[in-house]
Amino acid sequence: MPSERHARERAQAHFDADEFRQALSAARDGLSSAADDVELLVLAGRAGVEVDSPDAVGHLQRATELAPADARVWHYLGEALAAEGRTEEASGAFRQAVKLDPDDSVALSHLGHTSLAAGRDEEGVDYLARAASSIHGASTATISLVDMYRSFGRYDDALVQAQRLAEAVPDDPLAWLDIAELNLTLHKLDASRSAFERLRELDDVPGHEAYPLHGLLQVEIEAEQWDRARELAAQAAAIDPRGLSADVAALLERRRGGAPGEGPPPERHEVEAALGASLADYRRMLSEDRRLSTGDTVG
Amino acid sequence: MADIATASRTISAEWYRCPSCDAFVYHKRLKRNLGVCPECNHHFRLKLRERLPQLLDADSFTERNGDLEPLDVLSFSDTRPYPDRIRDAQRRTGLKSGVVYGTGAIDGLPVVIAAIDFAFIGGSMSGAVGEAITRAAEISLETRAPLIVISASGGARMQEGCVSLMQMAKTSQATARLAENGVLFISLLTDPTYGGVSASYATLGDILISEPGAHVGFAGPSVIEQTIHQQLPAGFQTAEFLLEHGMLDAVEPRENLRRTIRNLLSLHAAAEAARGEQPGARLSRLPSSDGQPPVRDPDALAARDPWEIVQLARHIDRPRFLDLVSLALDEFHELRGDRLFREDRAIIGGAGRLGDLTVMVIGQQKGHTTGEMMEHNFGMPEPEGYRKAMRLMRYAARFGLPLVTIVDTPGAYPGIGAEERGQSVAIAESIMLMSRLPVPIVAIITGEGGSGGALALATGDRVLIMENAYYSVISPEGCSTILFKDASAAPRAAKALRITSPELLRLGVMDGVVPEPEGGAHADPPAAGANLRMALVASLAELLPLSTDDLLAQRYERFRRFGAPGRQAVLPPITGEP
Repeated sequence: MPSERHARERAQAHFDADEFRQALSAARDGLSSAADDVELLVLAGRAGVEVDSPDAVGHLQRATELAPADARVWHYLGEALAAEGRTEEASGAFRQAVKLDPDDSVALSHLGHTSLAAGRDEEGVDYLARAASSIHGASTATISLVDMYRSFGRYDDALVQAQRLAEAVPDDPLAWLDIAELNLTLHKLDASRSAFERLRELDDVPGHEAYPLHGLLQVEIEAEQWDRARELAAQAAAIDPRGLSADVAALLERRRGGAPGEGPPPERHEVEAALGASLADYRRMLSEDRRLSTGDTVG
Repeated sequence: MADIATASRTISAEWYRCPSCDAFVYHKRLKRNLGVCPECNHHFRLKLRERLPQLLDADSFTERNGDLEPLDVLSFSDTRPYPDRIRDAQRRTGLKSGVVYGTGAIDGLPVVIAAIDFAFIGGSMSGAVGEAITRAAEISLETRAPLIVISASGGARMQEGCVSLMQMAKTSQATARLAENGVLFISLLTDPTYGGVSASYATLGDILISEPGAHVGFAGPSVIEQTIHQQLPAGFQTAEFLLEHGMLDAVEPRENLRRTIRNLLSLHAAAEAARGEQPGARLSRLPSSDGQPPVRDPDALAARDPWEIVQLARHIDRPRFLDLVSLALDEFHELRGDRLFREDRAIIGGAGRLGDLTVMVIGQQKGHTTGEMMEHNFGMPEPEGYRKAMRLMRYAARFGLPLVTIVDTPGAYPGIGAEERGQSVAIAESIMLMSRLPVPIVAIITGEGGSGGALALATGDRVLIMENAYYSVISPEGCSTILFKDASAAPRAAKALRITSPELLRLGVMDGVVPEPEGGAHADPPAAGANLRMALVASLAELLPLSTDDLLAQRYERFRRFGAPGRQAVLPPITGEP
């Protein structure tokens, strides 16, 4: 029908130009005379998601009824449901999309994330691993996998994904923090030292300067390289003359047999825990910063 | 907004993990929720292309950046040349300079806006950032459109050396000119704002607003790292911490930001319009009121037992500051903080609207329940309460807002900390500031008028008292113990001190008495509020036509006559029981 085709073309053109209100309006115009046109329903649903239209999910649900074998429609329905926070229903839609099109790596990633959001961590990680392996370069799946593998204690797997991220986005500080910390955990101290040095070079945010030094201090304390640690502590003290640097310096001074300052010097495990806490703060900041540097649409 | 639209995309991100609660959130859900985690309310940092559309009217922004770009003024090179770092930041963010400024509108109200992008070298203060903020302030000064600056910064740009440092002076002097000329400057401090930005223009706004959980401070977080044997205070350097310490006016959830700023702009737009008006036009801004007018003749007031008045003034249900403001004014927007030490909830202040007239309202708040009374320290201010009041008085002077004070306090708080922080100085300075404040001042004693703690808010052109309020140099109980040597003689002391409204009217301490409904204000708060509104309208109608010189001269004379032989009224002895 020419009028539906015209409406589809108009809606698609507006959608492609990020003119979502106009796209929704054109799709609705077309639907007024062709209520069961799947393409128009999909466009109305997708444009509706972008402008928070309350009937976006309804359009896409109707489209899945009319075209139940179309993986693409299930994919879009999942996204519409996820945008409304209906995670379990979204998970069901993505599951169907993946069943119909196992190569849809984005739907796989969505399915992984909705599973994680629903607390099904093992299942979520499995889907994310499948998604990450089929998406070239950096992706949300890779980012989330690093986090999840870390929380599962699968540090080797986490390191592989972090390195993948750093290869794809060489100036992503959080990827380098992951590499540094994971290598430290795996006692690969040279690699950890080198990653913290890279991070120190990379992170140019004022106020962040001390954090990579805290990481390097952890490496040298772990390696029991006390002279190098003292040198780093002196550098840290130039930035952070009181705080944590003072504690590190007190520990190092005690190891050298020097006179204690005011009060008892901290124990090594206390210093290591404090440095770890400092890096956890750093991780939170870099995680916030990463969002500012990412695109927020599916690539 | 071409500078923003060219942003490069290095990682495609569909899901974000909340740094606060670890929930995985779909990016479109996060966008719908204005970048706030729907699970825990954590406010994610925003990109400029997200932030500006949340605040401004659609399609209202006109960017004015032009060719603004960072300059390598030192030919600086560390492990890499500075120009390389600039190029990287430009590629990552799609911005030329890490800052955007221009003009726009919020609900049709024109503004000049500048915003820093934290993703550009940590939002650090480069010459370009300082230049953008200064230019925005200059446009604001020229057009008198309010300036809004959105800050997010780690501090100074080391690679620009002292030229970066000088941006603190440059932007501060630009904002000083706005203050001198009464052009509104709203500063929005977002997560994180540190160092050279927080220690210059960003904390010099007339109004400082932040978002929940935002980190704001001078020394960056890694410099004040928690040491092993020393705990940092809870919430250290968060917006809530700063609010509690008097450094902010408000911590607003993102969903409220646009509305809050819009309301403040609207109040200021009315003040700006009134600024150049003839007295007649200003008078027309006052509303009509169906309340009873204030009583000027003491003989028209019934003689009452002073002790009964004291009990009524202290009645737990008596309308307090916030009740009266909501009854007598048409709008009120609280502004907080002394910018020095602490937010004192015993004194509340803010901009309000009486008809079409924008006013500054300040007063002591007590509350009605034990919890409220404790929150407001029973209406007993500490020095920081008076310092907040003085900050708001200066604000009123800057924008030509008439000042209304609502006085209800047993007295200033007599604690050790209050003494350490200069209670006497704070009260004295408040009295002095009010005595020369170049705007009309109407003060109304609505409950207890406890000595210097009350006078610190009551040095006005018109001082009125509600019918069942009292005003005294000391509490009747205190006087009873000290002078009557008998703690139970408080009723006698109350009578002897001449603290009731007719007596104070005869003494000239009061200019009028605001009638109360039968049984007292608590018996019919709306009627009490209407009478208070009438008193404000009547008083301001007398004061608004006066020039500043006449206003100050009359205020001087008003207080000059007290105790002056031949000019001070003397009351006859009390007859009847001793």
